[in-house]
Amino acid sequence: MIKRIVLVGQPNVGKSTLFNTISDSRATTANFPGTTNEILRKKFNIFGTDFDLVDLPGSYSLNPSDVSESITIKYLISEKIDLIINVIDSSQLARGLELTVELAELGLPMLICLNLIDECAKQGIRIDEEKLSEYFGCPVVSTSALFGKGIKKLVDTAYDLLQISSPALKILNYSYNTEKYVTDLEKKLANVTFETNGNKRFFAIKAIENPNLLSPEILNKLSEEKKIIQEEIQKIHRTDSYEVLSSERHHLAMKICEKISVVGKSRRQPGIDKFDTFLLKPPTSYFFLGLFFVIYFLFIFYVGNLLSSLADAPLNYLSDTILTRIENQSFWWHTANGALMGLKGLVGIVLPYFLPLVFLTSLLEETGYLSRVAFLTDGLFHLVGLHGKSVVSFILGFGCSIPALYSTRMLENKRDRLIAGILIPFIPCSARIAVIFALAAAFTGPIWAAIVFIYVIIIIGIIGKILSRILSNPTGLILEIPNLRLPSPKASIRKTYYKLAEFFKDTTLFLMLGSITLGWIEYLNVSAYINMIFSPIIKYVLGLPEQLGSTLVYGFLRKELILVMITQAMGKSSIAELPLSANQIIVFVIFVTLYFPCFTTFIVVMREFKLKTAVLSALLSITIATVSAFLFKILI
Amino acid sequence: MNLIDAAPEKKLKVRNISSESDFKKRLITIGIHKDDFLIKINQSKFGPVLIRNLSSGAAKLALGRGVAVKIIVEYD
Ligand SMILES: Nc1nc2c(ncn2[C@@H]2O[C@H](COP(=O)(O)OP(=O)(O)O)[C@@H](O)[C@H]2O)c(=O)[nH]1
Ligand SMILES: [Mg+2]
Repeated sequence: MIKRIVLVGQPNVGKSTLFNTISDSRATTANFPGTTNEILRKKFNIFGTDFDLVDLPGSYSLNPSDVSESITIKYLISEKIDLIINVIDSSQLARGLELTVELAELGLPMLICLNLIDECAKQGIRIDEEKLSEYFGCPVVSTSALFGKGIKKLVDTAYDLLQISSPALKILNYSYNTEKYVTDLEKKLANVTFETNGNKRFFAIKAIENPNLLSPEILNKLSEEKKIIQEEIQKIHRTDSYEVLSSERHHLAMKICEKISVVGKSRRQPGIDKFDTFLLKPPTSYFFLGLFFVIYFLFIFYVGNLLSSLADAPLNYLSDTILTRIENQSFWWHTANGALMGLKGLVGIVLPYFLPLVFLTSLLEETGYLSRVAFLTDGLFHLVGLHGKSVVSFILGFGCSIPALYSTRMLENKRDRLIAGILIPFIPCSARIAVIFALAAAFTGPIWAAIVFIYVIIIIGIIGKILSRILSNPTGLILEIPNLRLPSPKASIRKTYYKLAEFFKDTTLFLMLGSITLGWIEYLNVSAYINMIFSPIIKYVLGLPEQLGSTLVYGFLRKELILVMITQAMGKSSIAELPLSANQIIVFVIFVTLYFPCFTTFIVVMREFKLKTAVLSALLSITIATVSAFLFKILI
Repeated sequence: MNLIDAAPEKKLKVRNISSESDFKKRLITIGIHKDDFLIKINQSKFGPVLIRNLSSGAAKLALGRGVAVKIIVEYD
């Protein structure tokens, strides 16, 4: 039986980074991509033994208040787990320990990982690992996942721990009264056998604070006592039992934190808080917000453009060299041509725009400015019936719709989720941004790229407004604003590398196969039929060349393919040579940006919501794309 | 008084969270408890309220107005 190690921690403590770093430093023997739900799994090897490594969605506590937290607690209770690695953001120790206390109650073998230790050191905080280890009766390892520090020790410690049959965790006692309730209930459970994880103490505690987590069988057993205790608590504390227990944990965590950490002199710049005030308070905040958007888009536009033109010559040379050696227009010529077109698209177009986008986003994320953007735009989002937290999903959406859709799980409310889920596919993702920028760069200049963006945002606003009218009742925003910090280019480069590697891993194959298939379609001469099917819209409504119809099919697979396919479909070797007027380009760009984002998005919407939602949103987007493109055609 | 009415830059103590349990849970898990000390950073007529929780961690928290109304505080 392969032993399973599970990473558990609050959101943003570096679990996923750790997950990648551990599996990078070890031979991974198998990959289980996270397609079913957000749980990621990898099989890797320590000293000749295979282990399963699992990355669970971030969770503030084991009392779920949103979808991803329910996934985590369900997994922890019902799956076979051999070791929990509790990942903590060591620069926010007190809060992290609240979850640790709960995990200790669960009673599974555990190892504490104090991550982001570099950030902690920057703030001048020193944590006594040994004392912490004594409190919980489990090993503690400090790491800096992003820089690969402490990983070896972490893995070694985990390995050692897995050799011991049942490491004893210490029980942390609550205040006198509460402790008495818990032990009373625990006794009641003495002769109940559990088929799930979690010891009797854990279930006794949950019976008081969150009975929803218990099986009906246990609940039956405890129903009377539970009620008495809850009533008693209500009488003494004048509040519900959930609040009492969680504040017990809160105080416990704070006490431990005080005892084990020493706060020295912060190495943070003293002026930084002052600067933060400028970023957060009007009128300066709006100035910086505006500046942010301008810099963001100009940077991507110009750097992307530059990189793209640099890549052109070598790519053309490569393709000329190869194609002259194959019999012109033969089956293999078309295959090679298709593959080369794919490569050109990937290296010559997608990568140049992706690179600055991902790098800049990482850099900004690192500084903490991204959540300030969410805060500042909250008011704006209220206009469309959402709140600032969805801004995070929306910003992610500029990267890729898929993670953005996943991130809607953070939204506690079903209604907010649904609205966000329908709106997100309309946000131009980086693939579409690449299309917009590349075509605009070749034909119309950055102004039109900006106009397209603004138009899309207006469209999103209108749809959101309508949806929120239909669905009513927005909920409130609760958003963390992390400390402002200087970005580390080194960290951002690493992150960019990870994100690009991940992207190319699951895109390259798709893209190459798509391009080769188009090569074949050309060889077989069937694109004429595809073009015919689309011609009612493409030719008659939008006034574009019929040949563009087949590119839309590829766009449905992946939008960035359009850039490659558009040149191929029109029989030109570069975008600049396309026989299209600036007006036609704009109409085409509008249509491409708005019609359904991609096949994968469709699947994800379907899975995260319902088939009905996915179909509805597809129809909606096709309608809006057609109407919008037509409007642009007659107005410009 | 509630958090919206409180003056900025003053030390506040959380007296109560007046809300149904699901919502309260959310606040508690994100780190606002009864008896915590807060400082309100901004005072805007619309848009979210920005606070810093002095009792746990140094990170700032943005709370929508609908959320802030439900947090009952007193001057310390
Ligand atoms: N400085 C620093 N940043 C880190 C470290 N580990 C993770 N991060 C960053 O913290 C952020 C959250 O990390 P992520 O792995 O997504 O956290 P998760 O939500 O727990 O999976 C990312 O921007 C990481 O690059 C670390 O050890 N040091
Ligand atoms: Mg993660």
